[in-house]
Amino acid sequence: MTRLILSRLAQAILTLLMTSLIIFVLARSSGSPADLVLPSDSTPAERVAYIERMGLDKPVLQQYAIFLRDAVHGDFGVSIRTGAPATELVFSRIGRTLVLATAGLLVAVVISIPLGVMAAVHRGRGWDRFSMSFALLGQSTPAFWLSVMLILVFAVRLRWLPSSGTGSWQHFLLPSLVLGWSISAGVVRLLRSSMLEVLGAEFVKLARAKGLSERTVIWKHALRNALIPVVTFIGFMYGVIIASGVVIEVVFGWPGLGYLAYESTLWRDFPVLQLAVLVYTAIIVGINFFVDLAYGLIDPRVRS
Amino acid sequence: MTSMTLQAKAGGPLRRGLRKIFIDSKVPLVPLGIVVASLLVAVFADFLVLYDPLAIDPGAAQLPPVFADGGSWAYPLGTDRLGRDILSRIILGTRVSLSIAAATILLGGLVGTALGLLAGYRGGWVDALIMRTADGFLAFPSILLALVLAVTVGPSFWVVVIVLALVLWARFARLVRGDVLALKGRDFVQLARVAGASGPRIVFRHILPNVLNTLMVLCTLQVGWAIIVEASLTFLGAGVPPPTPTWGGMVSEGLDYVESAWWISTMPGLAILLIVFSYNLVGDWVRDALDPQLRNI
Amino acid sequence: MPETTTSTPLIEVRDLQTHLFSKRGVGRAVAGVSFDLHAGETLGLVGESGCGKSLTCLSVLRLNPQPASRIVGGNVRFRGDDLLTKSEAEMRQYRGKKISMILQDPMRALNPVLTIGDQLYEALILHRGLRGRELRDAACELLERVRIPDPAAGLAAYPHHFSGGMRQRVVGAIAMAGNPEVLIADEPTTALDVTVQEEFLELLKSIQQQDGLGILFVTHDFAVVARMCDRVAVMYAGRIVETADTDTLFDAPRHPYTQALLRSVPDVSRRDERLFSIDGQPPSVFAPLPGCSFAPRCEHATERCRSSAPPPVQAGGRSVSCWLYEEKP
Repeated sequence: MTRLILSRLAQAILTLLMTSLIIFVLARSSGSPADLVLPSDSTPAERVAYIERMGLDKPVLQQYAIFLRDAVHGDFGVSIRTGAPATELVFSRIGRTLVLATAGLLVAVVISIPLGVMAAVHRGRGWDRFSMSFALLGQSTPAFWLSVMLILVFAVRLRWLPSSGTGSWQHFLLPSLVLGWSISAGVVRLLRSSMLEVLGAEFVKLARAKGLSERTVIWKHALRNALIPVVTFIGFMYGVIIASGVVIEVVFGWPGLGYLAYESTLWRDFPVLQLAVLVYTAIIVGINFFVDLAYGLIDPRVRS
Repeated sequence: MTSMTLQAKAGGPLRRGLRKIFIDSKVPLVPLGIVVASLLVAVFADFLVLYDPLAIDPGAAQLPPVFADGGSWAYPLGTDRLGRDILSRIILGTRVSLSIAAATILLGGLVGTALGLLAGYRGGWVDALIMRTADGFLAFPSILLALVLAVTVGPSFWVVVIVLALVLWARFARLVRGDVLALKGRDFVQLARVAGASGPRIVFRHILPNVLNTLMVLCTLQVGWAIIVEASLTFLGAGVPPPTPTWGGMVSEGLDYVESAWWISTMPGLAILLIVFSYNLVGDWVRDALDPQLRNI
Repeated sequence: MPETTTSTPLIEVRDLQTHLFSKRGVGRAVAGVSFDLHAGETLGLVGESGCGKSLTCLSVLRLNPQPASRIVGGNVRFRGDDLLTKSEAEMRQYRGKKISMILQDPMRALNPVLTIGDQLYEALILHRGLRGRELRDAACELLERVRIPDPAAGLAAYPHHFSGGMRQRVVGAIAMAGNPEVLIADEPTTALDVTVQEEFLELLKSIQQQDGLGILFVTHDFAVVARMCDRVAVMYAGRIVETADTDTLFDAPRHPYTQALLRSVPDVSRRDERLFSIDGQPPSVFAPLPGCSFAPRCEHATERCRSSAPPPVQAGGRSVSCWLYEEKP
């Protein structure tokens, strides 16, 4: 078991390193990485000093080593826009993004599980059609546009909710709803097909033959098995959740990591953008890692 | 012995697949019509636009659509802040969106299929390497990659295509590999091996045709995904840059005018919704007709 | 093997009909099945795959898959009560408690995410209302009864820790948890190794003798029939074509299908003979024949056989549905 954990951990770190390498290479491919990192009003002397320090005249691998060395010391450069260390900016925003992502996930779970189960149990009839239409609609609606529409209706026309910012539960409501909705579509479909497969299994037949009520058969026996692929899917989907999160943060002005990434794109504030992307990747990799572990908890077959 | 009469259907996997799609199952006419129409619009956009989508006319700025107060048939969906006809821009935007989707699927699909076939057939470290790489790419949020590229290389049509293809290839690779693994054990492949056929020959003549089902389904289902991601990227400013009219860009432009001229942001979004919905429905139909077992895609 | 008993049957099935509903139309998968099962006896139900044996078993407990299938006619009486008229809630009083079922595939019969103990407790709580210490003891007892070594450890184990044979025995334990009077066994040994098979059958026999269970044993293996069954019903294309005591059936089979089946069982001692197989295939359930379903493959078939289906003819504790036997009961 510990060997499994260690190997997964090693894989996670490897993925993280690969991502940092990709970004690193991309930065250098843009021609003059110094321009990316230094403010536009820096003097030629400062430029030369930077090039020397970062070893931009040295071979690429050596540069990467320098980058890693700095990274281990927590030095990810300085924001072009504010002059503060990139780490300061990025880490102040992580919390809000995680809060939003978790809320969105909860909303998605609360919506999708009943819908997915009902769709499978009532296959071909009312609930199934409704759930599938719901899922289809969810997958066809761009999150950014839905956000704008909801703002139009609830903030502009009805004035019930604020249109952007943070500070109260009202600010929280629309963004988490949109995030939850955009995730739930895929989950509903997967859960439905997973349930259908499980409901046809031998042990379900036997559970009914035991005399158990249909409710027990569905929620205790079938669902637990059907959730297994869904859990991995959600972990897998975290990348998508994050991506949707970025757009939603931007539309609603939710000051999280995604909004920061967007701002840094506008300002061409590369050090901050780079760190933001790395942190995002770390979060995704971390979640995948924990999902793998959770998989072992849920499916006893994996443990041995 | 089963009590089903066996009917040998003629034709290779492609013919059988097409027969299953068009003859054996119910054709969803409206979504299919919309899909076909969208393709036609994309190709003939230049002839279908009412006005030059790029022409600026400050005098006609922010006119409402025909069904709202003050609207007219002259500008059926209204105009934007620069007086450009929204309908015409949506029409031209169809071409942009579908071109990106097509390019992405072609690029990502070809690379992904090739690598999937390789991984599935070779197995061993080749398989492990390809799959790990694929996992790495799948974990990476494309939006952030696009943002990075927008800053380093600068946003453009091809940047978007490459970013999307970088994620898409991994999806194709995984599914194709799965198919190949399942097919490798089947009798007809073993027979080909025994008969002395070489690796590449087996892959192309025997395995690839049977993977076509998965490919067809995946292609149709990914169009909607590509359109939405591209629109999101352009909305954030990391996609296709102006003045090319894109649906995402139009929504973004209309943000500041949401109170006064709500149609600028609403109309293009509705276009996205309609098109993606139709493509997804058609994709579902293709998938259900070919093999409902694929419902996990 | 005990003589055919003339006591009241535990289960009386009369003219049971279950139809399949699919894109191909309506299939008469169970087309009028009748049999009796008495306490303490094992009735074998034999036939090729697809003849409707499994669906018959599921129909008795009203567990036929819906909406793909539906019971459309006949009655199934347990101690006189017609199960087909019961509500779903009432049926649950019978399942597991009066009539139990074990299935074919031990690898898939148990829920992989719950422990053996959980699945046993479930049945014990439901049928005997036990808890705490009593519950655990009863579960251990059941596992001992089906000869699982170290029952205490077994309770905490997961199904994937057990071999196929052991899993099947656990399935048997769960089936016995409610002290049922009837056990329906749908090919329980088909997926087991031969040696494991024998152990399991022996176990089943001993439990039957202790409890006076009536067992409906579905199989397609005549060796198992010879070993286990007191009486046999032969099924073909959704109907029972012959019923008799096991010995009588083997010695003097009457229905041409039964004769052909017995002939096609390879005899290891006669190695120089060619294997016998019956030409043709059973008719599709979606396209039933107007007359006897076996007529196209029968060497004795006449015009009458093809135009009208022969009714079962009873005589001396056996019955056969074939026009050959109309005049000589």
